[in-house]
Amino acid sequence: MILSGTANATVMATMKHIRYNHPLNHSFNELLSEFDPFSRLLGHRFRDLVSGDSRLPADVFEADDHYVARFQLPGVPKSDVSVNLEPNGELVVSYEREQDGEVAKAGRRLTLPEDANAEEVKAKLEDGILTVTVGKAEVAKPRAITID
Amino acid sequence: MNNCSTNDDTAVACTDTQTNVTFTKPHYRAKQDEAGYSLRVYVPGVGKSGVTLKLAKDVLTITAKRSDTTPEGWTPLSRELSTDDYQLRLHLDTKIDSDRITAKLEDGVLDVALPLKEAAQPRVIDVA
Repeated sequence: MILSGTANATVMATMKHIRYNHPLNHSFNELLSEFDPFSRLLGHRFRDLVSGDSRLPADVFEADDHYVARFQLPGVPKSDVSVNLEPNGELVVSYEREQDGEVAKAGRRLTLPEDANAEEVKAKLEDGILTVTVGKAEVAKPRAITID
Repeated sequence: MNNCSTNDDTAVACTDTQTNVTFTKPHYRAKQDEAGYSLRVYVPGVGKSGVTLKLAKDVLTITAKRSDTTPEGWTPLSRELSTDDYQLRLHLDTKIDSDRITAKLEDGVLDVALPLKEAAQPRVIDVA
């Protein structure tokens, strides 16, 4: 009995390990920590339209003076999408869409880099692509001090 | 809006830009009713001018080119989305009326109507 209990615990730990160390996340872990609170909250009943997962896939880019996150939301009207910037600096994007009696629902939580400017966030939905732009905070510039 | 008409054997006059490009097969759903079939194809990132429908014999080829290119100067930090254009090839029932195929693109969703030929639709026969 003890043996079988140990074996089960090992399997559980391995599954957890695979889930949170998905190769797509790996290269990005140092800059953006991300997790999937939605699938745990909602179980497996809800799925994204395109990826079939409850974790909404994203592209993240860095430009000179801003960061950009892109998501695929084909056929999802603006009113069904929620974009939130939380006080702890996390960007949370989710949608819920009911169509032909089926519910499509997915979300994603991205931790923004430290120099992201929470005051400067814009979101645009075009051709089924949601683009969220976050400005960069102005870096403290070195200041020359005149010696009297 | 794309509306391609065909004769029975010739391909439509819609351009096919296929060279050596890799395509992603888009997610789609098909439904059937008395009037024919309807397709809903998910093509996020495709603008109105990016869709071509080609019907050659009984194969319908839907090609959708993305317009959401990544601007120069954007450094990717994490990429999970495909950047490939979409292509879907479907064998059609010969009873489809190819002259009346219509397609509509909105918010990255392509709806294609494939109506049956008149003779293929169910007819109600009056009993004398």
